[in-house]
Amino acid sequence: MPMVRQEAPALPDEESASLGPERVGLGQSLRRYKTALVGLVFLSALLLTALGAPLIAPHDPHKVSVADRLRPAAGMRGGSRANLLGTDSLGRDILSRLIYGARVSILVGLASVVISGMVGITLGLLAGFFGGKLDDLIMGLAEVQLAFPFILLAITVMAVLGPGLFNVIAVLGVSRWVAYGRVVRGQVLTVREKEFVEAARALGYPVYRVLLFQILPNITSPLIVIATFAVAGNIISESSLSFLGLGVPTSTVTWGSMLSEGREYLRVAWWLATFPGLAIMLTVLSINLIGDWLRDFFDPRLRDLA
Amino acid sequence: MPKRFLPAALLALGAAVALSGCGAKSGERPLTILISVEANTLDPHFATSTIEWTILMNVLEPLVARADDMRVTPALAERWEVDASRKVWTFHLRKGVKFTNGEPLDARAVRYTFERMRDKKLRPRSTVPGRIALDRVEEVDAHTVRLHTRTPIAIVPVWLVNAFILPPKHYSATPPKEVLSQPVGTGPYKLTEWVKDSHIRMEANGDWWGGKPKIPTVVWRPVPETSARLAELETGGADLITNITGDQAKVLDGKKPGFQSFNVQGGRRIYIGIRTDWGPFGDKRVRQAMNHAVNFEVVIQKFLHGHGARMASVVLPPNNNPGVSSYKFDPAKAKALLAEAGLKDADGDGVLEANGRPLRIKMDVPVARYLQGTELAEAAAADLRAVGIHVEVQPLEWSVFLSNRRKKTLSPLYLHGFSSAFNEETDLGVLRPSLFANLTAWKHPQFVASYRDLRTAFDAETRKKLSYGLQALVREEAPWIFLCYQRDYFAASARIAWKPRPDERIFIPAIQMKEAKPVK
Repeated sequence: MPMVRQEAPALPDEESASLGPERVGLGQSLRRYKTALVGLVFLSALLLTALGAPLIAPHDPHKVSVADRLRPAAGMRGGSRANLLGTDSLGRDILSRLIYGARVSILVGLASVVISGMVGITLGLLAGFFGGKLDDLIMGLAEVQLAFPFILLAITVMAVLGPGLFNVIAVLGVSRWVAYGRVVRGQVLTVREKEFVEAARALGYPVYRVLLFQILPNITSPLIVIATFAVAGNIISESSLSFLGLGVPTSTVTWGSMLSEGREYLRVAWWLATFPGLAIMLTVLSINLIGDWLRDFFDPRLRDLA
Repeated sequence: MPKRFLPAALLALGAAVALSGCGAKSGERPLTILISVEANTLDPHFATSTIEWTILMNVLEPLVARADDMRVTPALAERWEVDASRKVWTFHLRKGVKFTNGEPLDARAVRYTFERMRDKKLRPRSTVPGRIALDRVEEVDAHTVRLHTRTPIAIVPVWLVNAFILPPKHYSATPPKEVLSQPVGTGPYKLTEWVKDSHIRMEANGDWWGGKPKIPTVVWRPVPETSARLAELETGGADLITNITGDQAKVLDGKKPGFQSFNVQGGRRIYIGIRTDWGPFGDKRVRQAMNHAVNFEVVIQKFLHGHGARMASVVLPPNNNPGVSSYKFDPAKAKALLAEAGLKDADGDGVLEANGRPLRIKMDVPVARYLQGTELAEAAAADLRAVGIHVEVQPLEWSVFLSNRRKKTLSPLYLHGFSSAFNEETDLGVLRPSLFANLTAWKHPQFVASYRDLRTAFDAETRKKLSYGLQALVREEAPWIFLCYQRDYFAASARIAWKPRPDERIFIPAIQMKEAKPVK
């Protein structure tokens, strides 16, 4: 992200650098990264909307009203203020569906990242700390997982388990652990030789304590960055699966299924697919902007120390 | 100014002729038809899908065909009669007819065709011999042939419309794997090329007994995406496209000069099956209530743009009983009937209970199988929820739906469609309890008895009486939530004139090419 780099001030002189890495706070850095601030504002607004969906949504997202079907957005010919973004093929309010759909996107994005993070971090810690055969096994598993196309795996698993919100979360969670696992393993390999780890072991700390309280806190920065981008990736994957009809059942509104339903009406009613498409795009863009900033923030070579 | 104007005018004229693509030379560009699916086989004894029958009916001909109004009409047989035993059907063949490979149409060809249909080694998928309980085929003379059936079957001619007559030499000499792509018959067109997943080309058969077809060349191309078919029509790459939605037809009619849309009431009956073996659905009043709860008038206005009407019973026009009227939208009556059947909302959550258990059920609907099937199901489910039956639509892949249908594990309500052979007996037959695809489990003794009588009744008046009685019974008993006959929409360029048939098939000789007019 060259643009972002330009905004970062020049590298610090040696004196201030020796003062340590934590001089610039997140808030201060954020003020310089305006794009990330925009992303954060959008995401916070989205989060609040999702949480307060029943209060904010003008209509019941499932309320079918055939008489009002395919009504265009307000301001267009035939549009009405009652349905600001128009209605879909069954006369359901698109704005309300978008608002409720945000819940699924955010839930899937976050929950699957938590699962894949936990799986990946655990396996990465074990592989890096113990090495040897266990390392070979876990990394071999990771290679296999990487070689397998994600969408094929997802389709197969969803076809077997059947559509469902938790099945989607599970598939995304389990199949995306490799990124965490590999990064954690690499970090552990460097950290485990450090004196404080040796000291902890010499003091007779149990392994889990060394792993969780000595090693893990020292390798979190890259994980935060990976997790941020993964949220965006998972939101898109959920939409793709719902688009293919393999995601969340139609009784739950999702942006992906709205997009899929709207596709058939592109020539007749463009607003059906356009608004959920925009919602997905803006959300993913916001998260990626934040991810860019976090990556720069945690990267010592780019970090603003002034 | 006039000097400058002239070349521009010529250019515009030239462009207009080029765009309309025909003018006096309308024969030069083939008539191009875009279909939504590809044919798997063109061997008539293995064909199963509508598109296969459509291609075949332009190349091959049966003894008896279906006319545009869906009544049976003479084709290769000029006339036929059944004897007093009601088991021997005599067909008198049209004389002087030749297959396009030169073989003559005679009794031997007919006998060969029916024997090939049940050849044990070939193992064809043709259902005709079973449907007509075929015993044997007898060649009386070169142009007279008799079909002997094991039992009296009144509607033998109806079953024969897909029994295309084949030239024996070509079909016995060519290996089955090759003959499936080389159909040869007596029809108005000859198939000249089939490139799988690309196109099928056919040329007019100048010797056709019905007169040389006016359109010399026809090209059929499978294009699965509806929007791609529409785009190709609009850019001039096609003349006729199948399977569009009513919404798309409306846009085309409203905005695009130079194009037209056609629609026709199709033969597919779209209904919501009620599994009468599930809890309260055994009660007729509950089934009637569900029929009254569905607001189909608004569905016809909004989904079908005012075309067509709600289905009253199971038999299609022209064989329907005009005295049987469709269920009217009446939520108050629906609620009253439900209350009468003992369904009450005791806990006040808006969902009725039967024996203390809330009526929360699913409605299965196959995805992308029927025109706007999911939307019809959603609309009906919303209406049912409004009277206290909590229905949730469950879209299923067609293969999953089929497998659940076979295992009889579909939900208590399921949206389904039965195609029609345009005959009262076959139309009513979809409700016979033994039919594997009928999951209603509705076994009414009067239906079973009357239907048995209908199958062996040869007299038109008796058949009509039995059929009308059965239609009224089905309406009253309501084993289905009656929805509609599927509306088939087509779009075309302005250079053709055509009236679509209700059986989704396209018979090329019925299409007229218009003289081209300059584009407005």
